[in-house]
Amino acid sequence: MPPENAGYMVAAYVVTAVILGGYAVGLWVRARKAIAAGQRDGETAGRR
Amino acid sequence: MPDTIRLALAIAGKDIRAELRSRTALLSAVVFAALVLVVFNFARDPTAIAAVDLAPSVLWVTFALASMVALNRAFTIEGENGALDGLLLAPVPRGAVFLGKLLANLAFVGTVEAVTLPLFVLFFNVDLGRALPGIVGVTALATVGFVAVGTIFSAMAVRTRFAELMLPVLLLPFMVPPLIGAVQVTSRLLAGRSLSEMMGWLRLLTLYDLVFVTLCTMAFAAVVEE
Amino acid sequence: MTAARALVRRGSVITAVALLGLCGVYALAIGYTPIEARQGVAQKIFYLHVPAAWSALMAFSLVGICGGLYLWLKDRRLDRFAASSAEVGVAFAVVMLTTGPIWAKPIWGTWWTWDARLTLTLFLFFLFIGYLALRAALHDPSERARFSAVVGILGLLLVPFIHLSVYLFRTLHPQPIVLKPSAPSLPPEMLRTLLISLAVFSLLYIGLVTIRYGLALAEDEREAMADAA
Repeated sequence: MPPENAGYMVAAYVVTAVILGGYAVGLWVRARKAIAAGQRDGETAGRR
Repeated sequence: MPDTIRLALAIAGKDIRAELRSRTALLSAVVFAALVLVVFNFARDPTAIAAVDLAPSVLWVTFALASMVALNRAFTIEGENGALDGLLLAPVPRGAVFLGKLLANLAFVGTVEAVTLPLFVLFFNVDLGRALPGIVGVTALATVGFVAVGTIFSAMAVRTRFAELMLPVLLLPFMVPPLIGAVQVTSRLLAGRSLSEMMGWLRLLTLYDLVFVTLCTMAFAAVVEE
Repeated sequence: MTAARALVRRGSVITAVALLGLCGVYALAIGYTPIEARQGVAQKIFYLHVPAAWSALMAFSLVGICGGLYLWLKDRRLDRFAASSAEVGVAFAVVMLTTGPIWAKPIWGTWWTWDARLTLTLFLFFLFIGYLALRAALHDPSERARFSAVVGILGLLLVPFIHLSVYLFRTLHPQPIVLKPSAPSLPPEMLRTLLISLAVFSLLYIGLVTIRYGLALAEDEREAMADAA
């Protein structure tokens, strides 16, 4: 009979999803913010 | 080639003379080493653990930490005086500058180790006996490796705001293979084992030294260029 | 900003597809793969841990290689790519460092062991952190690029020495191993799932690095605009 250790598997799978998903979302948000800020800077510079 | 060596020795000589005059790096490192040894002594139960079992680890942790203190101070003083910039304005090959710095740092760290070893024998009551030449040899071998990497990293770290923190963060992973090798060889030397049992580790240490001294010498130009 | 925006958009699409793929891998691992007799369900952590290790190692190798190329060619794009690969690599390294002990505990009875894989994981993590810390502490772009390139190359060359040290240590001090972490011969369902997972993780790496590169490009352009103003 295989040992009862499904809890570990669940923990590992949840942790992985949180890390990779969290990092992906965070990165996307940072990238969007940087581009928006860059566009604003470009517009102000253009107007000057 | 001989020019490079002569230049390196001249640069090393200048640094060593400067340090002998102020002695700040040496003294802080030696005091630090002594403190570490004292802490280690009070941290263990002498009836439960024999000193000779713990000896290699204690010795090498002390050497590693004290070296870091010495390396940090060496480049900080350099930075404060701006002497490195003057040196770089001259048409000196960067490899020679690096080797000079490396030799000077080896002299500093070597001195710290030379003072720490008798202190260690004294505090821990360990009989080195016939193992002494071997221990000196492996100490030199391992030290060359991590001081080479430490020299180039301290040249980089001194350009950051938290140099004393940056150097250990960068250097510690690189100290591990020489440290493991040194501890393994030291423990076998103290146990009176034959040379054949240490060959693997000695080869590792030698290879590490060859690879990293060469690489750091070549990479130094990229670190000091304007 | 148009180039940066295009990169972020493309990277986001690739990442979204990869994350969907990851869900697929989860489904496969949970439903399709057999349960290993000796290790039980916990063995399935293998389908995440091994690809994460592969991605982290690949990410770091690229950091070192691009660093070397940068020192030779002085192309800022190489430096930007190296920095992106390092940050993404940290994410995979953290996955390795968490799934590794979670897997080790039920299989080997201990959260940590100094075997070749876990030790290398830890060192890779420290090297990544050192690289990123140095970059954060340097403000001159040329200095930052040169110094981190040197750290990258030295770090990449350290990896075989770490491996060699652990190997020497293990052969002289054989540790009792209760169970081997991977089955001696992989049944086809396991192999297929592992390969699919490797592909998904590689795709995720590509997507994330693309977004990160776009972010770096946007930041560099803003800095250039600010300097010009």
